[in-house]
Amino acid sequence: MTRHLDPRALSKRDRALLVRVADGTVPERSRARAQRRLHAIADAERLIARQRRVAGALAAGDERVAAAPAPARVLGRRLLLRVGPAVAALAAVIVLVFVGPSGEPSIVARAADLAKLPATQAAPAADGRVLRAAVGGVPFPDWGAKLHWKATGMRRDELDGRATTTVFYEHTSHRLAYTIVSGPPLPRPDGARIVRRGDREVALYRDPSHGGHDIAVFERGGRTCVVAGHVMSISTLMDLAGWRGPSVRRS
Amino acid sequence: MAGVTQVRHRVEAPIDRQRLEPRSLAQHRPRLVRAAYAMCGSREDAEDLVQETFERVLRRPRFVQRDRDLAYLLRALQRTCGAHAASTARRGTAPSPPEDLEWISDERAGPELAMEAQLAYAAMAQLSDPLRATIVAVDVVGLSYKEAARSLRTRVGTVMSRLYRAREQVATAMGAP
Repeated sequence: MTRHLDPRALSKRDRALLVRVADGTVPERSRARAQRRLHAIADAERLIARQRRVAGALAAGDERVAAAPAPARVLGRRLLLRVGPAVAALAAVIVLVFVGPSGEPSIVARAADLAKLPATQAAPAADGRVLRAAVGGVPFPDWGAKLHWKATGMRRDELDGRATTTVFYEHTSHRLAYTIVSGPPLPRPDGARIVRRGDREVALYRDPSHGGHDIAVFERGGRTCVVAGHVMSISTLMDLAGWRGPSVRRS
Repeated sequence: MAGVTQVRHRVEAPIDRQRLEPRSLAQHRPRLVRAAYAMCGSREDAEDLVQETFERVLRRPRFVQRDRDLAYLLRALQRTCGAHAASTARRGTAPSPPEDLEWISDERAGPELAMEAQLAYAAMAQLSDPLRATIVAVDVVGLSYKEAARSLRTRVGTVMSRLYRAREQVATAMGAP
């Protein structure tokens, strides 16, 4: 029989567990034990939702807005007042992230769109910590063993004359697309949130047209990489984007 | 003194450390401003505190372990905030009135999330110092639990426990079910 604890009488360990579950930082090896423990905490789901609500609200701050010079902030507010907050927010995302200077969607945005398409080839085989597929010497990661994201398929496309290779990964019911764009690095999408993972800068943004796909854009070995898809927590996307494989192979 | 040559030694960074430079400080400024705001409750003061912290830090060469610069800066900011709070208390200055919080959140986050952010920051003002310092370190500045523990000079378990309690209190103030 499951014993239910009063949430007001949670132990320090249980509080830590709820924080970890809310933040998606439970180590893989402890997940089964964590699940069992959660069953014993009365109202655990509600408590986790409360934790997530606060963490999510505090993460709504953005470096660029906070750092922007005053006129930019005033302009943003005027826009909000004039056209309504929802329209302004959506317009800002579309203008800054998805549309390039020419009015066409940027290559990065179109690379992220590849996540919506099906795979056309079988997944490349694993070769140590990487897969047997690479763009300009930058191999795709094998996340199967450690991170449990299994490569399930691949496709090749061309965007504005640049060859792209996309490997699809799946974990439980979630699917991600990892695209590497050939050629020199692309400009970072404007309006994205810049987060550091080690010495790597990752541009993060959300595409509402994907049903809420999260997108991470970063450089590896001088190539632009775009990881797009559905993840439970943004920290998962950061962990994946921060993955460091063996040094880049130059053929 | 005659006959004595002053030798100037170039200060080199130890192999596992990096020197804090103005450029590396600048990239952390926005997050630190929000952290300072959460601690002092006034945007103008927050910007002054971050500026003062940077000035203090840059006064002499500082070397920190790689990837630990943000945690180091947060600790320096907390010291500056502490000194500022003590001098304000001595002067008997009245606390600042609630101010416009629109700037605290990303406009692209949408009006609902922006409102949530404003409520959360307002609720953080009611937290005790240890709880507020913890939630600032993890949720505002974005440190890992371990980095936060190092920055706050406490244990990881204590950080997580405090973080839970801080979020719980903020959630209650936000009217979360």
